Amino acid sequence: MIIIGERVNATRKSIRTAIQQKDAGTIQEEISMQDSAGANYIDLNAGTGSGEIQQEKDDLCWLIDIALECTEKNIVLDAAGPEILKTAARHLDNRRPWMLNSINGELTSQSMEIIELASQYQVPLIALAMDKDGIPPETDRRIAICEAILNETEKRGLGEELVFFDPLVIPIATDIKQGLVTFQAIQRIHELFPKAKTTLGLTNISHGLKKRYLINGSFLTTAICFGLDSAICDPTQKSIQQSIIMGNLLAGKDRHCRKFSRAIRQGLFEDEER
Amino acid sequence: MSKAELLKSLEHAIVMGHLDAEDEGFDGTMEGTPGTVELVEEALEEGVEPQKILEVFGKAMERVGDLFESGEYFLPDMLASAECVGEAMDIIEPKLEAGRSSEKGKFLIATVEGDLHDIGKNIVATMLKGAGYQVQDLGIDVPADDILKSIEEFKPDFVGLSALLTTTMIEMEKVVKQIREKGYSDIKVLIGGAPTSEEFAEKIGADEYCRDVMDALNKLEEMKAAS
Repeated sequence: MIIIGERVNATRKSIRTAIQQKDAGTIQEEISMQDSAGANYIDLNAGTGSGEIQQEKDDLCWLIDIALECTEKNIVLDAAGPEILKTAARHLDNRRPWMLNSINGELTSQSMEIIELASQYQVPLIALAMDKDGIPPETDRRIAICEAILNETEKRGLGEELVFFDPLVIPIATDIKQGLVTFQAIQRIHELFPKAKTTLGLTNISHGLKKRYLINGSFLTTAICFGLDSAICDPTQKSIQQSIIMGNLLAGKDRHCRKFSRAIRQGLFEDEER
Repeated sequence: MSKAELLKSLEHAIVMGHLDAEDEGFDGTMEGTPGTVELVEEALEEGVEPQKILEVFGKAMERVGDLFESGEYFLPDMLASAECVGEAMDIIEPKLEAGRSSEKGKFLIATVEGDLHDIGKNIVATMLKGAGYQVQDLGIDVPADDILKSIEEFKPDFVGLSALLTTTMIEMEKVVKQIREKGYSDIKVLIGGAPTSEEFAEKIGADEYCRDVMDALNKLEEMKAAS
């Protein structure tokens, strides 16, 4: 499992404030805690919502500098606009393995620029299975979007193996079939595009429900069993760590059940106040 | 590495279930370091006697058994070590004189007719191989006649019978009876499986009931010491 730590995201108020006040200590702490919790990639998102592109460029470069200093982990450059990502990519200058987050199936001229950027550096690109009408409620339509995306990436020299599809999640509170739709999408993506990877943001599944950590965790475990390769999540949460271990165990990816047994010995599954 | 250091590393690798350089080992830190397979090959290249290597297997598995009985090792940890020994055996077996690897004894094992359960039987078979027994595993759902035929060909010192169901454990009685009727009085019969017990073993004339794999290993040692 490739774990992408999602905590350094300017849509979170504490991160937005830290970016605005150039509070490097807070960012460092957020990165380090994900690093030691087992993240493979650290996602960096500086979109504070101000809409000022130059500001977001500067802020993202500032986040990159902090990350390069305080962690050895790989980096995800996370922004909506190609200009910001290009500047960030140039600043990062391959000093660390990295990937791009993200495009979707709208495939605007901006999306094409981001695909070309990924192709230029030959780095992985996260692609969301949605288009201008939003997230389709059916598996088939999400797969059709993936196919359309792959058509464009391959035309631009970005191989299937460098595409991380996020099949996306619609809350089960509004449509009880949606957990299954995502699981089936993961499975179909692997059947149809065997070299592509799948990744997933989790929390949407439990929107509007109680005990969300339980839903998110079971969802993640099951998604791993359906072949999920990666998750965009908060690895510092115990329930996330447990669910990843459980998923790998049940999916046959934990030889001799070692990671599970180690987690047991380290007390990861002991009950405690939440 | 000196020969002594090499054997010490090998023992450690087996205890840690560290199969080869790609394997992470018990503690998850051993990937990229020589594992059991590499160390056995190196030991043979350095001219270490195969017999010395076999001794290491025994010592290591004894330690693993202790760790399992104390609760520190879980079942898959023990099986990881047994797997190491199994692979290592495949490497050194050709280097041993004929029959050497079976010097602990020949063990025939089967799940009896009508019963399809093989987890417990497989654990015992793997561990016995690891401990140096020459094991013939007949698989699951094995009719008494087939067991008898294999006894005739393989000439085992021990026969292990497994069953998980109360409806199939009675099949064991049939097998034991046939073994005795054929006059194989030297062959020790061991039985195991959830519904079986000491009393049941006694009732059907089996020599030992084994609660689990460690119990089986201990009872085998006891029987050999007594004979």
